[in-house]
Amino acid sequence: MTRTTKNNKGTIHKVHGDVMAKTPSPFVRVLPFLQKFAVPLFFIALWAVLAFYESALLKRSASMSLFLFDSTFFEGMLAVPAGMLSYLGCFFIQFFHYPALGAAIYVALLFLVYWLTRKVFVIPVNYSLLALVPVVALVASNTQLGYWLFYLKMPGYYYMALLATLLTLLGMWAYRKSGAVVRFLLPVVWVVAGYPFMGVYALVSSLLMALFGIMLAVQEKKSLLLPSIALLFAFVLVIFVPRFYYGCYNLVAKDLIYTVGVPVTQWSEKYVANVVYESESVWQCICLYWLPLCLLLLSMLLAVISPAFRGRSTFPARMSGAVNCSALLFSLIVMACFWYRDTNFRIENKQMVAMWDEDWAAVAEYAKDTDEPTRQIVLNKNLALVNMGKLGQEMFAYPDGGLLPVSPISVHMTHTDGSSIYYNYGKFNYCYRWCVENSVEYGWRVEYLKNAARSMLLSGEYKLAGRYTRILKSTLFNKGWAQELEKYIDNPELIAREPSFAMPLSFACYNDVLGVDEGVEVHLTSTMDALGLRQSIGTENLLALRDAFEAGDIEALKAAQENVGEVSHPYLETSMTMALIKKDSKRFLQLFDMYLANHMKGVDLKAGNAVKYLPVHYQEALLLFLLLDKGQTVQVGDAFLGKIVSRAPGGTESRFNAFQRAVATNRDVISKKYPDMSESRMNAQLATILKEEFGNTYYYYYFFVKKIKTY
Amino acid sequence: MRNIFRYIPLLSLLAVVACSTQVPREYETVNALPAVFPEYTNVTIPCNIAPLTFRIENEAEDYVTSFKVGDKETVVAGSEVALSMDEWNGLLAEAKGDSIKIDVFARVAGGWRKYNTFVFIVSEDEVDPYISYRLIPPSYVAYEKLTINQRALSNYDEDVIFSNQMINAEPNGQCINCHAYKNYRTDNMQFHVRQTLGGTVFVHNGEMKKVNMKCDSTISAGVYPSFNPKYDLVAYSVNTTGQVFHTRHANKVEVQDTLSDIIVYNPVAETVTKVASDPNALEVFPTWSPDGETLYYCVADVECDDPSKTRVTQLVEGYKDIKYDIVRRSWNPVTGTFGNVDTVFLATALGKSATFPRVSPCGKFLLFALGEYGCFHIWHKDADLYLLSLEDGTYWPLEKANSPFAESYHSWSSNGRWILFASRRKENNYSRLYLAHVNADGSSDKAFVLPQRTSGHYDFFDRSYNVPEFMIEPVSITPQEFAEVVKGEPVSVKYSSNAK
Repeated sequence: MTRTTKNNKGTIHKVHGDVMAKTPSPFVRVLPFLQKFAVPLFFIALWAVLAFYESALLKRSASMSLFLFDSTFFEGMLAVPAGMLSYLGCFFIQFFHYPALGAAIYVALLFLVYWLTRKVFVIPVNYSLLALVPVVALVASNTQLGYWLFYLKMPGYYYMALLATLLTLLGMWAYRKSGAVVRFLLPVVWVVAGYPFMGVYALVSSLLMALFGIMLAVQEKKSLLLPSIALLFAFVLVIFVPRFYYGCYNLVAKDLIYTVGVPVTQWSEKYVANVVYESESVWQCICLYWLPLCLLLLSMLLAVISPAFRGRSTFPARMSGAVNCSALLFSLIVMACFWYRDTNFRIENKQMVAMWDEDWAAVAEYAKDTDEPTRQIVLNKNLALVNMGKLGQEMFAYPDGGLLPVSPISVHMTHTDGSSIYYNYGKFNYCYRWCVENSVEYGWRVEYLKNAARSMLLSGEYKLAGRYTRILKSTLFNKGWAQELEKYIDNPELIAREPSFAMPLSFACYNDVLGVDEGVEVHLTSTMDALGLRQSIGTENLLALRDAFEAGDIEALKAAQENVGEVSHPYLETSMTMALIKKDSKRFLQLFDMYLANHMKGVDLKAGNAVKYLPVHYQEALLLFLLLDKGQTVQVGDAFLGKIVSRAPGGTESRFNAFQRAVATNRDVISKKYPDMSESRMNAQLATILKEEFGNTYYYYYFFVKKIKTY
Repeated sequence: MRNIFRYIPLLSLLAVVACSTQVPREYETVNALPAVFPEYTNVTIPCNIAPLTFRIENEAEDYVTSFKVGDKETVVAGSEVALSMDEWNGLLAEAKGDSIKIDVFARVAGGWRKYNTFVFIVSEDEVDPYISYRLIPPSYVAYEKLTINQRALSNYDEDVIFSNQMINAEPNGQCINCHAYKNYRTDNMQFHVRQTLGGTVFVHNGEMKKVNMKCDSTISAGVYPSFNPKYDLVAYSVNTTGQVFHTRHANKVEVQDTLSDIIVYNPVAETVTKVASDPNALEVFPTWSPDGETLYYCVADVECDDPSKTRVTQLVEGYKDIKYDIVRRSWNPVTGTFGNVDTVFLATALGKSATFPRVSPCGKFLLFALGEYGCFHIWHKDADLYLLSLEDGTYWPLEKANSPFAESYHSWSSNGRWILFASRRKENNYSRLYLAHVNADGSSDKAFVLPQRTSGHYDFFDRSYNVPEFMIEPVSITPQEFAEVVKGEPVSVKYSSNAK
């Protein structure tokens, strides 16, 4: 027995009476809740997660994009098919600068997709959650990106599929409301007029529209002749229209005319490194990036061809509850699977945002949130510590190591953070170089413009800096930043008074040399070397300092201090730590007298405790290197050593001795237990055992932190 | 109702009068030129150039600009001063051989100020109707989007001759460079495609082909080209070139040849012949004299005698010591042989380096770039343009055309009265094209930047213009047709000891 009822939209449904007569199933009970709250909750939760959990990512995304209110920019974008989508995408991405606002706009447009999907395909309220499927496909196409953020060559990517879906749905809505002639013409016009604006999306959507026409004709029991001809025309046009436009555009390869609008060129073999990303198969990972778009297409196709959503659903309420629950579950699973949540990636983004705010404490603090950081995290953490004056005291107290970024693509620091790191370490030309090189590959982005402007400002190239601030002034949210920088361009004498410029400028004390860039960390560790700034390199001056100190000879001390020359303290300290990172004892010891000269500035030689202990990691390094050196090249002298290294119980020296004993004891125990254990396994075993007690020391880093992979 | 219609013509007239811009009658005079961008004050322009659109940068509430030639006056309101094509052409026609006087008025605090008058001197010497150039980001290594474009000089029309995106995107991308023409015409022209599907795209008497110019006897495929204006012969340098980067110098990068020779290519016989290949010298930038019987080029002597270091290391370390002179060799079209080397300009005697020699169409002058060292002067802030008299050997800087920033790649118009060159004078990074009038005595007038539709074009446009060349006709082969040739198989050259 069946009866008919009207839903709240006035659509007539056939409902199985026998089903209604029985005790409501859990699905039926949950259905009203799902209908009322699931969708609002879904979108609100999505907004909250994006706005707060992913706020750093959104800010970074905005900084990796650019939108200008300028005709040259507009014309440049429209020079390729789908350029309009790119242009609009860039417009919307800029709002991620304020994550809550950007996420609200993004989620609002997603909701519009949901709402239009229901409208166009007349999805009844009790199946409404099915309309979430294209929404989650769109979200997943963005949230799974991870490090692709830096390698996307298509400006506005985040919004392109979303806007194309919206336009397609609007087109279909218009199609549904139109008469036979318009229905015949619309797919044809859509592909011809739409290709320049939407690229491949216009091709796909015109086919969907034509197919939709057939399904509507079947449903409305109208002649299939015109819709069939329209579908045929659409097919023919989809083949020939891109070929026609190939003759009109001069910036598109013939091979790409059927894919323009999706970043297909990104997925080529050269970009794929042998990095495992939640799977053994790299190509499987690459496919992951296509799955959301495939899901989007599939969901739209099913919506078009399914007769269930023509307002004449014959499914029972029990079935609709199950379908709705399944749709919601499926949506949540898709979201979870395609949400890139790599810890180091998140830390890198948070560090970058903190650096924009000059919140160095936060930059260092974030570095504690991982078991093994990437080298970018380590470099930024060290930069934060040098800014806080804690480099020699704390740098090895943080998680150390060198994981490669977890990504199926080959990630290089020059692309992710290189220009910022170079700027902060005073390498202005290299900072500028990577801004320009990356802009060639990926287009100018806000971050590149800012780094180019400030690096050229501190290089004294004010006109060039002005070029970039002028461009930034045409953005919506970076005008203030640009105007602030222009103050210094117009009045360079103010530069020396600005605290935020002090550290990069203090690093810029090196001589000009010609070279090549073999990677950010390799370049920094090899070139940030204060040895290059001194006349003579040797340990004689260290002895002179020691002797002067021991003799209480102020004049001799001054002479020894002058002998090492003037080098900015942050530069010298960073040079020392670069030597420590490289485990280059010779370089450390050669720099040591320079450091010591600075360290002993202004001391009263007559006071008993005139010289303070060295920062703890320099104490550790000195003890270790003196031990390894065995007095062959460096003799600091026991008395002098006692003044700069803590020998108190529990102090650096006793800890170092304890470390040596612990290594010897544990080595002995392990070798007895596993006599055939290889040296590398032995070291790994020791590293694990000793990490808790000695993991924050330099000598632990020296012996046990290995396989550092910089990139 | 009818009464209302009677007033329509009158109302329309009043509206036109109210909206038309007028020069202020009362103003105070400012004894200074207005700040305009691009800097177009008192420049000499051809009588067939596109409108010189500029903006006024003096801060004010409103602006009025008057263009006057004799009794004819055109007035424009606003800070962006852009004349219509008709208005501009009318002014040019009136001012040919004379000048257009420009008065700028700015309203500040409610009162009008008038700046000193400046002029556009309209030369009777026409400029060639087209130019071509490569648009390239001012990067060092990366090249994602390169195009070789052509531009009509009498308006703003611009087309792509070829784009590296026509074939394939990265990682199988290409560099495209060194477009060149024979006698300013496009039925004999060429450009190179590097890396994927590499070769020289060569148009010989209208027929396209791709040529692989590398053979066992040469260092590389052809690089810097020069068409012989009279014979079927093209001179090229062949080079091994590298880049190294300054850590803090404003020049930022050094582009250096570590090996460099000169060859000539015969497009009929498909042969190449060495012209200069001294292992202790770097020979580069060949260019033919207008009669086609003398080949000019640059040469630098290099010594790499430290066996403990590679040649590249020694050249990089001694980059400031690599300095080029300009020499020439006669060529006998009958025997196909080259004469002895004759030094034309001994830049090393001045402690400097001379590059890119270009002989004027009249054969009287040699235009070149002079800098402190090296061959790639567009990265050298000190590089300036110089002219040398081929009659008496005297030389002089083109003071009115030069700037404190780099001036380099340059070419002569077909009538020899205009030069087109790249300069980085705006901010020392982006090369822009400048035109300068050259007088009969070899002096030049003030240069002006290639006019664009809007004054803001150069603010936002993120590519450099390089290798500017004059043309008397546009390239009619489409980019798609060129793309098909690039995809095809190349013609391989053979080595010949005789360049005939």
